[in-house]
Amino acid sequence: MPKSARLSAGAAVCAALFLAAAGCGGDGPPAAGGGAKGPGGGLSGRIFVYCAAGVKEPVSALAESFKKETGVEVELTFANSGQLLGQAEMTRTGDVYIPGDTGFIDQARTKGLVAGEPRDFCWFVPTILVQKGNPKGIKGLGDLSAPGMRLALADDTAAIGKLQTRIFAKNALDVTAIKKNVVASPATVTDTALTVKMKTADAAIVWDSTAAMFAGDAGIVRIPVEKNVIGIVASAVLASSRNRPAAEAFADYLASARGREVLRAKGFTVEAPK
Amino acid sequence: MPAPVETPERNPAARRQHFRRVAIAAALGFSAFMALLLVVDLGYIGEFLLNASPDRYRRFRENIFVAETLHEVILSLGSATVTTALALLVAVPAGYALSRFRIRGKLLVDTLVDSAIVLPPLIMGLSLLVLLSVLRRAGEALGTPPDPAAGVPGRPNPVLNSFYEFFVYAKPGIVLAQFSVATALAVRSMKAAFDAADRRVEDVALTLGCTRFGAFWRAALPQARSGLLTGAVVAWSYTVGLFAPVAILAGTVKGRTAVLPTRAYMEVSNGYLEEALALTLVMAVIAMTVLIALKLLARRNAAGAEVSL
Repeated sequence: MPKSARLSAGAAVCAALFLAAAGCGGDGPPAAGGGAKGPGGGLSGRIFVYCAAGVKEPVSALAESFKKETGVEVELTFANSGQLLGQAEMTRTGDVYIPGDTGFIDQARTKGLVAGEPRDFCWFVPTILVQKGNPKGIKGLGDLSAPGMRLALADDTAAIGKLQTRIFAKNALDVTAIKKNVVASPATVTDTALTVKMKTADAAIVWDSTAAMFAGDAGIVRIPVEKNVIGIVASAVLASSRNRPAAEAFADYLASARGREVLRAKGFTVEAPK
Repeated sequence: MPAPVETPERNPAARRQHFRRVAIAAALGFSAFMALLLVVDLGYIGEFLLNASPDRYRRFRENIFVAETLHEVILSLGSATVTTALALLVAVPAGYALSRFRIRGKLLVDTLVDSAIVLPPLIMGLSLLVLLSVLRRAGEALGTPPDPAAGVPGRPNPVLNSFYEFFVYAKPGIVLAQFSVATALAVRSMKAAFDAADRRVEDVALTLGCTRFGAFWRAALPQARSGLLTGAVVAWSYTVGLFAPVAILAGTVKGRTAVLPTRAYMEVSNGYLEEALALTLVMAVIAMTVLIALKLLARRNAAGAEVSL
């Protein structure tokens, strides 16, 4: 039958495409990577890393340079921190867990998923982003409640949104006056910064790394550490790791001088702010 | 008494015309709405590309025009196609059985099929993960226990363990997650197609000496051809955009298990809406091309198809 011949030809082409994408073989589960010693620092195989979507950019950059230096293949799977925790708990598979907030590591620890101590490697420092040249003369948090100030503050569901609420409380700021000044509450920190660049807002609270991204189009006013609430990103080696040496090495690498160079080049804060 | 006035409402021919216009307006209206969405997305990306800073533009370029995007496109299309084929392989006999045969507890069987559609996709993926984890634990319990004295690690039962190793955080996991949802949709449309087919043709076939399978193959299936197409279109298009169960079961590892929908989601959660929209548009154009090809192929087949006994 020519009709079914055509259909099966189509199916064969599709299957061939799929196999091409599948890369025929070498597709075993990540845990099968093993921890055999090999050349290049005595590490080999691969590790499977649960990485929060919010820290995708720096961790991806570091995974690549780590692979170049050690030969260890780092497979990053991204989702929100909570789902990743669920996956790690359910599968008891995977080598390293990097949530967006250290609270999740505590949760993982109570479930017995973590081996050893978590390693802090990146600090998310809230910063005030102002228009280029600071035309409104903003000096600090106190100016945010000034009448007529147009503010962009990220929505509470964003991590920065949660921290800024704590910053206002810590400094006993007039939240009612600040809320009156809010002209936009975007869902992500990047969109929040964008409003200042586009001059639809006079000031916004964003991460220092976000501010660094917009350095050419906007000005930065730092918030003193004693008045600030700082987010910490840490990595934890998982008890389920079947390639413990490589997992430990990667967690160390994130916090190492080399890792810091990569992170710093991307505008992230790599020393605990004092 | 004056003669009744010929208003359009009373004139059946005019009324048919009137309804025809309303019906066509509904079809055109909704497709225009979808076209509007795509055009607005395109405009949004265009505006962004015109105004983007050099750094921002570089980030866009480095995330869209790369080999990984091609890999994700191929993996998305390929997995959806394999899934659709597998789903139809199950759905055609299953839909036929639900339509024709007396089965004990049919209502329950039929409703269990629906449950795959009712469950939130994320929960479907999570349930698969639970099942595979339970299988692995059973494999560990039934395997050789570890011998701490000799320092020999335990060996799980190879058969039970292999399911887990095969699907979790690996490409077959993509197909398994998609298959679980797509099959239910395909069974629904196949059952509807067999319900609509004329049973008498099958009865005649049986009387003329066809086997039960022969009647199915040569009388029922040709009549259900449009249902087969509907099943394929529904399963494929639903599968190609499926995100949540794939992400939880297969992961979102770049160059391995990341498909286009999971990548687009990651871009959104990092605040890169433009990348997400661009990836989605690429997907929409390719998927629509495939669907048009499928429909044209089906139309050509239908033109020459007759029930042949």
